[in-house]
Amino acid sequence: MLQVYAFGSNGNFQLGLGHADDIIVPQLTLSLDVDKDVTVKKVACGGNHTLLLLSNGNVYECGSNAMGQLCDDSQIETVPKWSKLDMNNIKDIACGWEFTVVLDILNNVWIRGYGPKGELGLGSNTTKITTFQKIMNVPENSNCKLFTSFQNCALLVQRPEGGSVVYGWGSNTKCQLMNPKSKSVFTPTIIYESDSQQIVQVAMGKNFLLLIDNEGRIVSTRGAIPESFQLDEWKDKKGLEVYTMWSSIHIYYENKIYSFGFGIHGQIFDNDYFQSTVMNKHTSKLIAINTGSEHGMLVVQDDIISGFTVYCWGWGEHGNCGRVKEEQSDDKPVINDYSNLSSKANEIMHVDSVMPSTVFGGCASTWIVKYD
Amino acid sequence: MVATYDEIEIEDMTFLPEDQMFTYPCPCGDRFEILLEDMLEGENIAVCPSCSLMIDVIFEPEDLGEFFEDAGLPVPTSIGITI
Repeated sequence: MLQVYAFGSNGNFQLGLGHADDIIVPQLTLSLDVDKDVTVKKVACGGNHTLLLLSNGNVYECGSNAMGQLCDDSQIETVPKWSKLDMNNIKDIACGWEFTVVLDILNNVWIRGYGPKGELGLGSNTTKITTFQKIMNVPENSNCKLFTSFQNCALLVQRPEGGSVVYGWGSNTKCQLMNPKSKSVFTPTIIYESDSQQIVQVAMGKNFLLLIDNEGRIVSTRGAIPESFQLDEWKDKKGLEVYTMWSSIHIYYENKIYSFGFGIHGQIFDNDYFQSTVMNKHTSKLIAINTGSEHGMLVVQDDIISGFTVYCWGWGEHGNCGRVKEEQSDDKPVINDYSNLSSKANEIMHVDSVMPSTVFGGCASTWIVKYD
Repeated sequence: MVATYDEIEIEDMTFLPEDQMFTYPCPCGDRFEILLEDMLEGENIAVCPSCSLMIDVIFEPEDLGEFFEDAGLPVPTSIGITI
């Protein structure tokens, strides 16, 4: 059994709860009776729609269909509760602001929704498409991954003989894909290619991206990188885990999270607070980090307590960082009361999960997966 | 002076001619909004109807002329486009 909890921004039913109220206490939104080895591979969130990919290749979706980003019936404005996508054998998913991309087992890339800045990759004449259209096919023996920010998309192709290629498309007004600056890149275009370097991640913010290799090194950056981040200080370091919010970079390195970028809503991680109030230095381990549009989430395991504890930090105006721990109580409403605008690492939920709980972030939404 | 979330150039915003309004995605899922008419009068802060975030819109008055045309409105003489 697999259970998914969600909270935060929900104005277009993007939490799949069947209503459109913002939520400040995690709510069980999806329960699936699946084989023990099936996990949630990814939760991908657009501005107002959500896709959830299982490791068995099934996809579930909910939220806004205003631009045809979810289903073919244009009469359907929103999908209020989870609906299973009628494509199987999906390997990867990604969502931008109002578009959806999926990669199938044959390495076909399918896209749908609205993309006025070239996000659909279908050329300058196609800015809206309300059924899935194939935009690329990559040889089956290559390993592919999808990445998006709100107005950009990237496809990473790891070649079987070594090396990698990154295709990018969408907005390029900040040179976030390539030089020179242009309004849009309307078709999938090679933005990085190497015969030797194995890229494993394209970490994308709103107007920038970073390429990370298989040794955890930042190989290249593009676009409007936060000014406080200096590539020279990081490019020789290995073992980095890189996460991005829309306007900031967060690097986990040697037991600390280094944050660069916008921080007026608590996005800059406070390591001293986390180490002194959350972590027991003898028994606690930080086992997972993830980020949403302007907030982050952490999973902590403690040797002396079974299960996992989830924390959130950053901008929490829509309830997406939970109610502040000291004010939490079972008799308080689950509807957002705007009591937590921004927070340091805030304890959300203890999860009695048989496998490590996984966390995902969307546009002011937070997702927690529990395995029974 | 209010602390805004971000600074966005007018070229990155979406213009809705029927509403005479510019919008830009907000990280909460809604959109920042600012009216063309208000920008003509010097307003440069776009607000999100769903949350407290705001953005600074970067533009020059003469940038606005083409959007009056898009909206089918006469271009105000104060914009000072002369040919």
